[in-house]
Amino acid sequence: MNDDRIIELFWNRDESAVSALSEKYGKYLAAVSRNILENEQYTEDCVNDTLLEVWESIPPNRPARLSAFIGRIARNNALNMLEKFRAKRRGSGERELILDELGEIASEYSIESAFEKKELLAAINGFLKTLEKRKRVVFVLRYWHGCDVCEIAEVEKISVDNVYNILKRVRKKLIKYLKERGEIN
Amino acid sequence: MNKDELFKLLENLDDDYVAEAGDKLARYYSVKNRKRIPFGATAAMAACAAVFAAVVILFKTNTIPSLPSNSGEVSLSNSDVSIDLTKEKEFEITLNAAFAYDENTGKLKRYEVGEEFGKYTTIKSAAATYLHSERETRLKKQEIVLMCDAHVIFNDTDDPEGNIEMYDTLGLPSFGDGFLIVYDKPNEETHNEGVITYERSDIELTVDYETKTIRFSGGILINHIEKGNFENEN
Repeated sequence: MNDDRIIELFWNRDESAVSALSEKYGKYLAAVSRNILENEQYTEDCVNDTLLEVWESIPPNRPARLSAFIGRIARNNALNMLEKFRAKRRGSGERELILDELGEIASEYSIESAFEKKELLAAINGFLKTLEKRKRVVFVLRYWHGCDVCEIAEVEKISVDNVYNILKRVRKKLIKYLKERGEIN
Repeated sequence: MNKDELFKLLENLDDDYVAEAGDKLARYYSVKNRKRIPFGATAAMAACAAVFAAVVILFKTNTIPSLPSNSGEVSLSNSDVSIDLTKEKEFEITLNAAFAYDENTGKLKRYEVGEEFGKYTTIKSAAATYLHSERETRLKKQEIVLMCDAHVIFNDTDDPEGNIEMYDTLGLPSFGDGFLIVYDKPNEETHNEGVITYERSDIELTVDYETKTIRFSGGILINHIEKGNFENEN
C-alpha cells in the first residue's frame, strides 16, 4: 500500500491504518528503535508507542514524507525510553560508538543559545546537500537512524570497509565545512 | 557542546534527507526476510528444478573438469549424470568463481575466491552466471568483488600524471575482446579527481557478456589536494 493511501486511512480514522503502517514500516521502526535501545523488549514497546503516537498525530498532521515522520517519532520515543534506562546502557553498545564518532565534531563546538543550535543545524543540512547521495545516505543512516556499519553495508551493498571510510571522510569534510563557515573556531 | 547534544540536534535534519535514507532502510527490511531464489528466475528454470539440483551437485563434485573451455562457451557433458542435458532446455547456473583469460596460456581460466586476480587484487567474492541454451553453455554475466592492496588509481584524463585506466593499473586479466569499460565513480568532486583504493578496500566489477560491458564501481574518490595525504592516512 502506498504512503498516501495509508495516510488517508489515518485521516479517515480507519483502524486498519495501524496494521497497514505496521506491515509496511514495522521493521523499519523496529530498526530505528533497536539501534538506539539495543534491547528487543524495549524495541517492541517503542514500536507500539510509536504506532499509537502516529495514530494520535495523523490527523491533524498530514506528513509529506511518511518514513521521515514516523522515523522521527520512533527516534524520539527511543531516546526518551533510553533516558529512563540510561544507567544500564551507558558505556556500551553501538550507540556509544556513534556518539564517540559525533564527539569528534561536537568537541569543536561551544553552543550557548538555541539560535546557535539552529544555525549549526542549518549548516549541517547545507553540508549534506553538497554530498553525493550515497555518502549522504550513509551519514544519515549512521547518525540519524543509528545503524551499525554492517547494516549500512548491507543496505548500500558496499563493503564494511567502505562504510568506515565514507564515514571517516564525511566527518572530516563536515568539520572542514563548518570551520570554513565560521561555525567552528 | 557534548556528543549527546549533537546527536539530539541531528534529530531535526531535513525531512528529505531523513526520508531518503529511511526509505532505503525500510525497503531493505521489507525484502530482507523474503526467500531468495538462488538462480535467475525463468519459466524454464522453474520447470527444471530437478535438472538444477543435479547440475549443482555435478559442479560441487567437480565431475565436469573441463568447465570452462578456452572459447568461453562450455558444453556440459551428460556422461556423468542421469539427465539428458543435450535436449534443448534453457537454464542458468551460477558458480562462485571468476573466469578470465590466462595471459600465459590464452585460455579461459577459473579463479577461486581468495585467489589473486591481477597484480594488486584478490577475489573477495564472485558469481559467474552461465546460460545453458540450445545445447551449449556460455558465460552470461560475472559479478566480482575484488579486495585491493593499498594502491592509488587515477582515472582523471585531465591529469597528465594520472592518465591511467583502472583496468590496466590493476593489471586485471582479460575477459575477452570488444568490451566497453565503464567506471561508476562517485562524482561529488569534478576536477582533478582520482579513485583511490585503500588496503582491504573493495572494487566491484560487473562483466555483462550480452551488452559487452565491464563496469567498475567502488574505490574512494579523493580530490587532488588529498592525494598527498594518502600515505599518512593509512
